Amino acid sequence: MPRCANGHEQRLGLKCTTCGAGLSYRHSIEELLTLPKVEPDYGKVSIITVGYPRLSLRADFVGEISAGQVDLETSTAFEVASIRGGSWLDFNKKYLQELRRWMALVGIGKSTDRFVVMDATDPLSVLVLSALPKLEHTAVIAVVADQNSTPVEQNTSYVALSLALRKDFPVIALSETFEREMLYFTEDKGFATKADAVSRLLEPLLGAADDLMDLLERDLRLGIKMHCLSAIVAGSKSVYGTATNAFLAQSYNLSMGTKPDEYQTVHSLVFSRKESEGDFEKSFGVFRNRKIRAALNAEFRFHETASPLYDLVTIYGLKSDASLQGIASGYQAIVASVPELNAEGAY
Amino acid sequence: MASSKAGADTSAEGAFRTYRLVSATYRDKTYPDGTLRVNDAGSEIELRQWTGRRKKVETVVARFRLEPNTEVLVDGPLLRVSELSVTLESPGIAAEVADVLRRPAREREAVRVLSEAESSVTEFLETREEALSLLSRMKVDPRGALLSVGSMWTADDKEPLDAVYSGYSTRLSESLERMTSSLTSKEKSLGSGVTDRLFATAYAIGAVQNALFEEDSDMVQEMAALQELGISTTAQDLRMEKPAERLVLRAHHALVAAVTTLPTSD
Repeated sequence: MPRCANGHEQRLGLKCTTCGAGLSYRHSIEELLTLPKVEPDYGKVSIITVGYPRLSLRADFVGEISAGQVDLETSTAFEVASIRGGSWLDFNKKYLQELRRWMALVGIGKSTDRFVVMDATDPLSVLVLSALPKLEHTAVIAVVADQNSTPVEQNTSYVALSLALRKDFPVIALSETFEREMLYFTEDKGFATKADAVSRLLEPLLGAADDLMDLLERDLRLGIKMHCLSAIVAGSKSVYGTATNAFLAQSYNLSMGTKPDEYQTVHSLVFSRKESEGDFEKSFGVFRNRKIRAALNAEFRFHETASPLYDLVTIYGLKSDASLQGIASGYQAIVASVPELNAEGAY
Repeated sequence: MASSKAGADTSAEGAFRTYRLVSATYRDKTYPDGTLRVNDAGSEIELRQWTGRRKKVETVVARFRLEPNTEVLVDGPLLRVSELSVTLESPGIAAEVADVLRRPAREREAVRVLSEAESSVTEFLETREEALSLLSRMKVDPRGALLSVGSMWTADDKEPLDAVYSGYSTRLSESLERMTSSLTSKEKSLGSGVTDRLFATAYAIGAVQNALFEEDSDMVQEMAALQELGISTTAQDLRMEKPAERLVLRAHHALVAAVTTLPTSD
């Protein structure tokens, strides 16, 4: 603070209010070198989308990573120029450092929870998982190649999933076929397919990010990293009847072609009116006993909504290499031709 | 000093001082007696001659404005300026007239030096304004803010925000050093009062920047401090974009007044 010749300090002014002497600012001017500390708030939930430029998801931060015409970096988008005929390795070679830098600048590690929503057949999915540091509270929701996909897509998905598992990121996998066939209807928005359907499915799930991450991390402690899901979006009593029926009905439309003996855990998240909570909880118990009696863990989470329609999402924890086995042959076929495209080449 | 006496009449730039002269030459014509009148600002000069039978009537022989850079020479009682040579009653009087006539050049130089000093203050405050503006943005849009200064982050071992702090701290230190050495080196020309005022102005504007960053102040104290420094403003005006340069500009008039009323050093 400036002070007068008699040593009296004063915040501002030309004359000392105590003794009337002139104030000197010469020594206090160095105070202006101190910059105030800011503690930036990066929010609780960050979502990174890969290969889905138009997903409609709500979170504290949604960053889109996609391929387009030119290289472009904004605070919410990292767009790379397409590489003709480029494999995941080509994108990694060209953009890995830049993407790591972008992720650091947008504080990807600063929010509490992170979800990567990716098309794992897209070469950028490997790039993103390579660039993403090994962080806690990070989960991957991935559309992955299945037996109907090309070997190139299978190779990309295999590498991306291997990388996610290597970094201990829990994965919820949706097969390409499941994604292609997703169709939801709501009275307010009509039919939703493709990216719109993915948005519609993930909207309630990521809205309950806290619960979702908690369930995935509980599984992680049991050594379960890989998951598939089944869901009813905008369900109603008039369509499905009892809640028990709804649980059974959704279990026939799994996001991956898995067998019941592969299930290790089962968790359901229900988004409905408060009065239905007891009914759904009881029905979850029935469903679990009937379908997955040997589950290591089973949790039910309820989220109250105002809508007369409900959303029901069930997540199944799988033996970790279950979804990799189905695409291993395509992966191997590519590695046989181009050895560099092996899973160990990505890091 | 027989004749150093301010006259009652004035020009637009102050009262005239009247000096009796021994002789004068103007455009090769000699005037054996008369008076020399110079306004306080030193910008106008008038040569008068006594005329009439009893030499009691003053007639203006020449009156002209002097450019600030006009050379004024003194040699004993002899004073030369433009096309006029005047022998005054003593070397002391000649020196006094020369001092008045040199005032415009002196003031012009003082204003030039002041402007340089103000520039160094503005540069420092603008650097600080830029840093605080980024930090303010960090509070609402940390990602956009950091990305906009991504070039400041060059070392991967440091957090980007730490790199930004470090970068601005370095720039601020350098800029403050330039400002301080500029003000100190110019203190001889500006005087310690004006130099102190420049430091006070920088500090007060810095306090405004802090208040704007905190967003929780009505800035009454800051505005009172600025007012004391001759800077009129409102809280609304302060909240407009980039106030630092504007405020230094507004302080300029008061500082010019202070620097041009300094006593002469010679």
